[in-house]
Amino acid sequence: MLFCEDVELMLQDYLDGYLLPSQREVLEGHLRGCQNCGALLGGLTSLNGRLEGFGDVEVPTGLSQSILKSLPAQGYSPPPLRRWLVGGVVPVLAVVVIAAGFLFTGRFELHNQVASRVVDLFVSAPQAASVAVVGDFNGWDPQRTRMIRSNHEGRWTARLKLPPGVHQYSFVIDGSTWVPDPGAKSTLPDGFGGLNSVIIIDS
Amino acid sequence: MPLFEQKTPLEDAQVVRQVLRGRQEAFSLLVERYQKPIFNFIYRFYGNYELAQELTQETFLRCYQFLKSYDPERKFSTWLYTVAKNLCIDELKKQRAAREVPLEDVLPAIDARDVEGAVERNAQVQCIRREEDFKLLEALQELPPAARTVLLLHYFQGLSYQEIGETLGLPVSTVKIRIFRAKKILLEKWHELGGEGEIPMQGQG
Repeated sequence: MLFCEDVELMLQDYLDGYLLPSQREVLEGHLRGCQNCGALLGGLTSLNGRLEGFGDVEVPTGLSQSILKSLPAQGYSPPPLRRWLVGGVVPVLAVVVIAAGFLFTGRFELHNQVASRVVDLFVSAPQAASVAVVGDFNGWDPQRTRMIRSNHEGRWTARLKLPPGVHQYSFVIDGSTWVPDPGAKSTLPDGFGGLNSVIIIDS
Repeated sequence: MPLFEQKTPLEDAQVVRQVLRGRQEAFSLLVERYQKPIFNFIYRFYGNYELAQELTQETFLRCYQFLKSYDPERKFSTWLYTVAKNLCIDELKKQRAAREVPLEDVLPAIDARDVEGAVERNAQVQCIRREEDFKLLEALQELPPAARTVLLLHYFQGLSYQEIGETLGLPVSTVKIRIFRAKKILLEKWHELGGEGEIPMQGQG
């Protein structure tokens, strides 16, 4: 004989579908005979539906800017720089990123005493006459890093050397159309209503 | 639209590492990623838009200040929610202690004498489909803070029992019981305010 207090403890699991068939039988048996617990179950079921139906409200405009402005002016101080072996190139396992995006060749090179990482970017643009990479590493200048069209059906590539950090970039098609990298894992608003792609280089 | 849907906890930890190495601009990735869920959690907690804005800002600032104490083994999101929840509870205590705060600032921004107007004004902002839901939110915002928190985290923010446990430092079994009890209280409150919900009598075995 199941008391209502015991039933209550089972109801949550019942709603979540976690009860064993034998437990369900016992519970449903009680529910058939007990109006109170039946009413409770009905109330809880309709409540579930209501609670799950609420949508998200939009954040106030400018919230992220005001958050970033409130941060202390000085960032965290970086730990002391690690020096790589002199004599240059240390081969490391290459990491391949699936889907158009970028390819780490895994080579670390000394570049002004800061270990840079070699990154291959690629994008598919068969109709384009020219494609360039622009970003905070080349002053967003489409003249600086032109991509090379490979033979592989409109695939364009470029090789970059990037120091550790967070880098924003974009592609520029035919000198005028800015397009974020469809393979980029992260994006940030560009301040003009569009998006920049983001690469993070770990040291 | 930002592509943040299937991010693993490792990604957030990677960003945190960058910030701790001095690249403050990386923090903006975390803000962009989580400002909406955190804002929504706090907003639904009080029903007060301005307060939610203030506390969301405070949440991220605190996280930045205590970034070194973030344990990369746990989800960054649950850590954020923990900070947000603590801020909400602190704010409640503050408001209750300062008795000179007028009641209107503590209760949700609903003018009881002008429910229709309020419903219209708020419906857009709150994404409410009908008056029933309005009453439900009102009831929710009258619950004790612990009950409010678990319901918001589970049903509004979509956190699993596991994630809620991580946020509140509780085992999953306790989370389940809390949610169940919170729903019972909510049903009663909702009914009190004139909403739906059958009100079960006390059990008779």
